[in-house]
Amino acid sequence: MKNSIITYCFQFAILVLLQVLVANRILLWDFITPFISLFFIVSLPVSLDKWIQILACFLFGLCIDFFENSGGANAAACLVAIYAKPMFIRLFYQGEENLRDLYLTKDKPLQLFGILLSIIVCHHLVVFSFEFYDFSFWNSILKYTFWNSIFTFVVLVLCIAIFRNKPRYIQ
Amino acid sequence: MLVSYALTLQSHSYHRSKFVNSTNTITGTFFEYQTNINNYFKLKSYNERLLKENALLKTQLSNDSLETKNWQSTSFTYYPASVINNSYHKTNNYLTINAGANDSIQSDMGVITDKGIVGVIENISSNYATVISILNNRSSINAQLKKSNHFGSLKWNGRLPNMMQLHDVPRFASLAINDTIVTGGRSTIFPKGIPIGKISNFTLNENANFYQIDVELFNDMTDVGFVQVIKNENAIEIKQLESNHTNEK
Repeated sequence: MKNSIITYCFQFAILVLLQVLVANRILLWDFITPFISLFFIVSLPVSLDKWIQILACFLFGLCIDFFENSGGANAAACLVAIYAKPMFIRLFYQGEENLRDLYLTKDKPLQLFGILLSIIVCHHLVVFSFEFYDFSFWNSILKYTFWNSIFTFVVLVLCIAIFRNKPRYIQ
Repeated sequence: MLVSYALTLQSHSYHRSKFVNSTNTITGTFFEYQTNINNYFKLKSYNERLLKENALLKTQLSNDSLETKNWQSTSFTYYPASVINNSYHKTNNYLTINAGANDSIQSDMGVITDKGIVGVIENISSNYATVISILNNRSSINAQLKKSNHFGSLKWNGRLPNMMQLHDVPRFASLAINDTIVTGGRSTIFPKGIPIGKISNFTLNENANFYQIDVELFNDMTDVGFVQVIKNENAIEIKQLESNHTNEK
């Protein structure tokens, strides 16, 4: 348990720095950035106390906001994503009694992709709505959400394939 | 959720984004490390910019041009700084510079480069400061035509990082494509006559009393590098006078 807490703290710091110092510099067509930081939300175990998950994600988003001068946009988006994560897991893994953690397994890979995409779109909609903070920019919000979601999805699938790849899922 | 919404809300009002900003030591240190590495790859172009600016200043000095006289007669002090973080793809963009209260930087000082204006200082810590970029919905800069004294407000519509819009220039001003736009000097932030950009397009507004002008910036806001922060030594005196005037009203 102690080891896993240290691992998650380490992951927290590495992903914040990776997001603000590396990923934010990748600006495809001047607006597409991979939100690699979502890997933190994806990899938090569902068995962890709900309040700890919510607090950890709020602090995680807030740390990114400090670097990006973005008020509370990332904090809000991370909160929505972690809140919606169990709902999406239930929706896509219908018929399973317990919530399962998100690993790339040989059984049901498409379900995993569905959950990932749902979490990403949820997060991006909130983050861009808060950043634009003006619904007259609704077309820009949708455009940013669409293209950034695709790019983030590809990056997250790669990360999961490398770091969270299990041949068989054991509950 | 409420906390993050409140933080977003206050970050969208001018001068109130005090809590969540990148002036603290931790963010500043990381950005500075990163900039130190990045700058090695840009040294050549920065050197060329400095050489060109030096040549221009020497020419102005030897010609004793009107602009030089104006700049000398008003008491503006310039402080150098490096940009350690710059965003230009959002609707509310900020820069972070590696100069703060210890370097005599204060809120509401103007920030420029050799090519044009960059923004206005917002939050400061001892060693760092955040700058509201001109590419920010909350930014509004007093600007005028170089060839005449017709002025307006320079704002950004949140789209292209090299294009801004000049509003409220009266219809009787004579305009032409490629006319230069400079700072108007009607605030205590920027001295008069600092170049901003050139007119790339203009239309008459719906009620046909004011022009809507697209201004192509001289500054490349995607690669700012180093800047100068301008302190108006008379700012306090001017503000005091103006506030007295408002009180009397």
